[in-house]
Amino acid sequence: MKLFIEVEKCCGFGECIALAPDLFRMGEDNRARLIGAGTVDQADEERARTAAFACPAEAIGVEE
Amino acid sequence: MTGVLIVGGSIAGVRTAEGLRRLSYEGGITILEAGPDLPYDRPALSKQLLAAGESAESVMLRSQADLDKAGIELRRGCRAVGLDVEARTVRLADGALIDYSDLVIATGSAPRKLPAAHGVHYLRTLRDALDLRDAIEGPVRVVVVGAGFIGSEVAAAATARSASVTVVEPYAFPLGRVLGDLVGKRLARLHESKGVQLILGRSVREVGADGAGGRRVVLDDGTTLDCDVVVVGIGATPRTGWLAGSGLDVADGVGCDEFCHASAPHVFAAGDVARWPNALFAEVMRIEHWTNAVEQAGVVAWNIVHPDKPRAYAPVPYVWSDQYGSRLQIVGRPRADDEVRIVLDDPADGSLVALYVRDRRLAGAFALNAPSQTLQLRRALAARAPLDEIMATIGVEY
Ligand SMILES: Cc1cc2nc3c(=O)[nH]c(=O)nc-3n(C[C@H](O)[C@H](O)[C@H](O)COP(=O)(O)OP(=O)(O)OC[C@H]3O[C@@H](n4cnc5c(N)ncnc54)[C@H](O)[C@@H]3O)c2cc1C
Ligand code: SF4
Repeated sequence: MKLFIEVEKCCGFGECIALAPDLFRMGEDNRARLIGAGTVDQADEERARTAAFACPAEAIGVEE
Repeated sequence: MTGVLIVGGSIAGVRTAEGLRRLSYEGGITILEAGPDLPYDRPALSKQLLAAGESAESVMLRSQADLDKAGIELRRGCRAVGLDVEARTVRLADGALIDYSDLVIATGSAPRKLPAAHGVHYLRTLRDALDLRDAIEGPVRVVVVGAGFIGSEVAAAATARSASVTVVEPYAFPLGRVLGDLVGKRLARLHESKGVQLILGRSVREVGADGAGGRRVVLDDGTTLDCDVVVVGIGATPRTGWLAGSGLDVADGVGCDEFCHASAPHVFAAGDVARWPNALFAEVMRIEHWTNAVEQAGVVAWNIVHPDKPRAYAPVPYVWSDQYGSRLQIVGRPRADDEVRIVLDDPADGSLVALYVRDRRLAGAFALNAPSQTLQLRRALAARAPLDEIMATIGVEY
């Protein structure tokens, strides 16, 4: 599974970072970024999906 | 029909429906939406759509296929006009009755209207945004009434599209009624640095024709402003008119308990329309912000599926705004009469962080171009951390 962020949509709420600080970080431009390439280990998939759903700006996408 | 009936097909309604499915709710889910559109991103209307000129398609949140796949029936152009909490039915404009096992009220809010104003724009719907975008094409003169979030974003967007913009605001500073004069002054400078003219401390008496095909705005001191386009952003009111006679408490939005449960069995409310006691701040709130609608919808979905172990809704309020390429963020509940402490003020990148202290506790914060501090403060507010601990970790005190 792979995550991606539509950076221009991000509202900087930080929900993704609160839920999965190992997958997301805040960028210099007030928009969230992926840590690494966004590839998610199987063990982390549910957490990644939860973070994506929690994003109020709907900025986080999941490719299965 | 037995199942969940949701009235209002915007973010609170759609997120409740999706939240139910995520919690494996298997009953029927129907959403009634008065408007003609599939759900779209409202904050983007005054940002990406108006300022950046993006297409209407780019602000859509869900396709019909997405909804079908999730087993959510969205009935567009379908307005609820009445509710009977005893019979558990919602009445439609054509008299049809729809019953429910649980009802979610997510009818949001509508722009407050400026009295004695003719031929003005409001900004709430996709249609409004497309009309306004057409109107501010080219070197037009725009008067914006109200320097709140929407007024400020419209001013920024119109400026970026080469309009000349004047903003009229009754308070002494933009957002000053909430954020106080210190931060308000800073926001005034942000507008003025981009060539926007601010007329502060004045209100609008009327808007009519100027006799030359344009608009004439008359202020309370008799000043007249002739222009091509007038945009009014003076706040919003909860849409509860359809609940008159239902017996629900709708004094300022739909009154709920801490579980977002309204004053009748099996009736919940979420989003702009809901008022509830937030235990984290010991305050009754009604919040007109996107993130609140998303979070509250999640709690309502949970409480419908798990009535035996309901969750109290106690969030840290959050709102952001993009103006002139700057990002504004507010967390918590700042008030103009709080003690304001500036903990970051960097003219080089225009960043600013102001803490709002009430009763020796952090009540809220305002940040300009300072996202990591905002994150930190949001966490501190959620934990209700002591003030000295926050001051020690956020940076210099002066
Ligand atoms: C231009 C603009 C910019 C904004 N920018 C930001 C921002 O940057 N950050 C932020 O946090 N918030 C922002 N907001 C506020 C945010 O959009 C709202 O808080 C959010 O839309 C609330 O969602 P909701 O689902 O509760 O209500 P709404 O989005 O108002 O949706 C309510 C829906 O219910 C429907 N409805 C109403 N009555 C009936 C009825 N009787 N029967 C059937 N359907 C009905 C309406 O047609 C509407 O689609 C902005 C708002 C606007 C207008
Ligand atoms: S949750 Fe969404 S909006 Fe918030 S920081 Fe992460 S990507 Fe951005």
